[in-house]
Amino acid sequence: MTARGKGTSGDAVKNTVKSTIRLLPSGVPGLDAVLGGGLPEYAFNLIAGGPGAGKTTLAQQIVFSRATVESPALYFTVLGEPPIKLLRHSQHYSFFDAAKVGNAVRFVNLSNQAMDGDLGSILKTMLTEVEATRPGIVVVDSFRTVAHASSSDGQLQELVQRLALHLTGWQATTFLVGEYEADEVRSNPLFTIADGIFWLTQNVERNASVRRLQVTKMRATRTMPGLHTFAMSTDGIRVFPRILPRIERPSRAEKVERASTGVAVLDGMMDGGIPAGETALFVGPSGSGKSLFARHFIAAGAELGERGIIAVFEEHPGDYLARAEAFGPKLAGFIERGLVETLYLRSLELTVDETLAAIRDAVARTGAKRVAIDSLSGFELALAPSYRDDIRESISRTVTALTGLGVTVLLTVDLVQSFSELSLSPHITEFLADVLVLQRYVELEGKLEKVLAVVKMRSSRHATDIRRYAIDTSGAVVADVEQQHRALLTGVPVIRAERADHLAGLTREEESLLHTLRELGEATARELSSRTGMKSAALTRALERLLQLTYARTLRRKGTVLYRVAP
Amino acid sequence: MIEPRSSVLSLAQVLVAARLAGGASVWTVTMQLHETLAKLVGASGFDVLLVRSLTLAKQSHPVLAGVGVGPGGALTGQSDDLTRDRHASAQAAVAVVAYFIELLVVLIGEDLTMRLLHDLEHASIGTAASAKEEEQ
Repeated sequence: MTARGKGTSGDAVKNTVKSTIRLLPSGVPGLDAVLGGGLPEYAFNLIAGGPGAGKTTLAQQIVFSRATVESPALYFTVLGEPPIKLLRHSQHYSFFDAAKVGNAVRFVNLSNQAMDGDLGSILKTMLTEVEATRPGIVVVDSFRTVAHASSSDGQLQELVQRLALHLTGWQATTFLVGEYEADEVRSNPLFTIADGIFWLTQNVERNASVRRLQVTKMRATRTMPGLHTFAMSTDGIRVFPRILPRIERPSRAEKVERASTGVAVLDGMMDGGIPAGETALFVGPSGSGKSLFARHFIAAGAELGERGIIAVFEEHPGDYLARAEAFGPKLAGFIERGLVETLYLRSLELTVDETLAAIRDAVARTGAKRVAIDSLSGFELALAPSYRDDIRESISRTVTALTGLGVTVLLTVDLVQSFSELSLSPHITEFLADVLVLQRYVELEGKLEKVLAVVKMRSSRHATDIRRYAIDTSGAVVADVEQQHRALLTGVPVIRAERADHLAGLTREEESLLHTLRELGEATARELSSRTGMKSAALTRALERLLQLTYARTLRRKGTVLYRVAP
Repeated sequence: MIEPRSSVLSLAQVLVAARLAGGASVWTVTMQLHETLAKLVGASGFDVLLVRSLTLAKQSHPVLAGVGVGPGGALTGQSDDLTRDRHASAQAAVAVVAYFIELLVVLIGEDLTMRLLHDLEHASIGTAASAKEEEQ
C-alpha cells in the first residue's frame, strides 16, 4: 500500500513509500545469487527451454522447497509429461517429499480440458483451484500445451493477461513452464507479460553435454547477467553463478605467517615459506616432481595439524597415494586421521564451476587451510571442451574465494615448451599466482638434472638462486646453489671456468655453503642446515673445511657459535 | 505381470467392505478411487490404470467378462448373475482394486500410493466400524 504525504505534489512524491518486493529463497543452490537475492514474491515467471533442459526439475525443486500446508503450491499438469510419470520420476530427486503431495503440493491435471481445446474451461479450473487453495506458488507445466489449445494469438494473450492478473491478485508466485525457442521472444506475448524469464539450455558440444541458465528478465531486481552453468543430479539442479561473491583479502599483518612447503631449503628460498593465504604456482615439465612438491606442501600442513585437500585429475587417488608411498611424503596416515582428503575429479563432462565448487565445498566441509590442485593441466583436460575457454576466469574466482578465506593454495601446471620459453597452457597464465616456482630440466655433464628457482613472490623477498634438486624415497631434496654453470634456463648450460680460481680447494657442496653464508652474513649451524638442506654430519665437515681454508671464521655471541665469511 | 501383495489385498478388502457396510454397491469403490485420484493423475490417466487393472483381474475372475470402464471410474456391464451374487461381486471388486493399487505402487512407489489413499482408507475403516456398531 502506498502512503502519500500532504502538501504539494512534489511533497507527495518525496513522501511516497515504495512497495516492498520480498525475495524468496528458491531452494535451488546458486540460483538466489543469480537472482540478486531470491525469487521476487508474486512475480509471474516463465521457465523456458528445449526438451530435457531441466525446466520441470527446476519448477519442482522450487515448489517442494517452498510449499507448506499453510502456503501450498498448486502444480497444474497439462498434456506434458503424464502426471503419473511425473510423480514416478520426480520422487528420485532428494528434494521430493512424498509427505507434501496432496496437502502442501497439490497436483491438478488439466489434460482433458486441453485435449478438448477448451481454454475457458482450463482458465476456470485454474482460477477455481487457486481461489480454493490460496497457493503461495502456482506452476503450469507445460504452458506451451495450453497455448496450443488456443485458437488465436488474441485468445492466448487474453488468457495470459487474465492468468497473470488473477494469480498476482491472489498473491501467488507463478511459473509457467514451456518449450520455447529463442526466436519466439519477440513474437510471443507471453514474453512481454512475464515478469521473469528463465532460459535453460542444453547443448552437446563435441562429446560433452553443456547445461546453462540465463535469467534474461526479472522485473524489480538486479540479476546477475550472463550464462551460468548448472548441473543436474539426484539432488536436483545446482547453479554455478558466473560471478562469485567478492571477498576482500584480509589486511596483512606486519609479520606474514608462512605456510611451509615441507622442503626446508625451499622455505629458506621463500623467506620462510609461502605467505599464508596466498597462491603458489609450481610450473615444470612432465616428471619434474610438481606433484611431489604438492604432496610435501599438504603433508607439511598435516604435520602441524592443518587440514589439507588435494584435488587430482590425472590419476586415480589410489595410484596417486601409491606414488606417495613410493616417493614420499607418505599421506596414508594423514588421510586415516582425517587431516588430508583427496578429491578425484575426473569426468569429461565436468564444468569448471562444478569442479571448483567441489573443491570449495570440501574446504568448507573440512575446514582445510591448504589446497593443492594437481594439476591445472589435468583439470583443463578433465573439462568438457566448451568449458576450457572459461578456465582462467573460473580458476581466478575460485582461488580468490579460497585465499580470501585464508586458505593457502598450491597449483601445479605443465610447461608446454620446456627449454627456451616459459609458456603455459593457452588457458592458464601465471597471473593466478602470488608465488611462482619454476622447475626445469637441464643437461649437466651428460645427465638430465632438475633445477628450480623462485621466480616471483608478490609480497615478500625471495632468493634468486637456481638450485639443483633430486627426488629420492624421502621426497624432494633441494641442494646446491648451482654456481658451476651459467645459462641454466636455456637447458644447455655452460661451465663457469672462473669459479675454480676463486674458490680454490672447495667442493661444490662447500662452495654452496659458503655462498649461503655470504647471503646470510652470519648464521648458526642450524640455520645453515635449514637453508642448505645439508645433513648435520656433512654440514659439520664442510664448515670445518671452510674454517681450515680460511674462507670462514667463527665467533661466539651469548654462548652461541656463529659462522661468518672471513674478510 | 504383477500380483497384488497381501498388504495391498487387505487394503482393497477394507475399501470394498466399507462400500458393503455402507449399503452401497461394491462396484462404486472404483468411483471413490476416481474421486481421490483423478485430479492428480487426470481422468484419462485414471481410466488407463483402471482398464489395465480390470484386464489383470479378469484372468483370475472370469465373472468379470463383459465388465468395462465407464466415466468417472465406474465399472459397467456386470452380468445379472454377478450382480445377484454378492460374494462373487465382492471378490471380483477386491481383485480389481488390488490390481489397481499394486499398479499404482509399481508406478509411483508404495510410500506415495499409501499417502494418496490414506484418507480413503481411514474413511473406509470408519464406515466399517460404524456399521458394526449399528449391527450390535
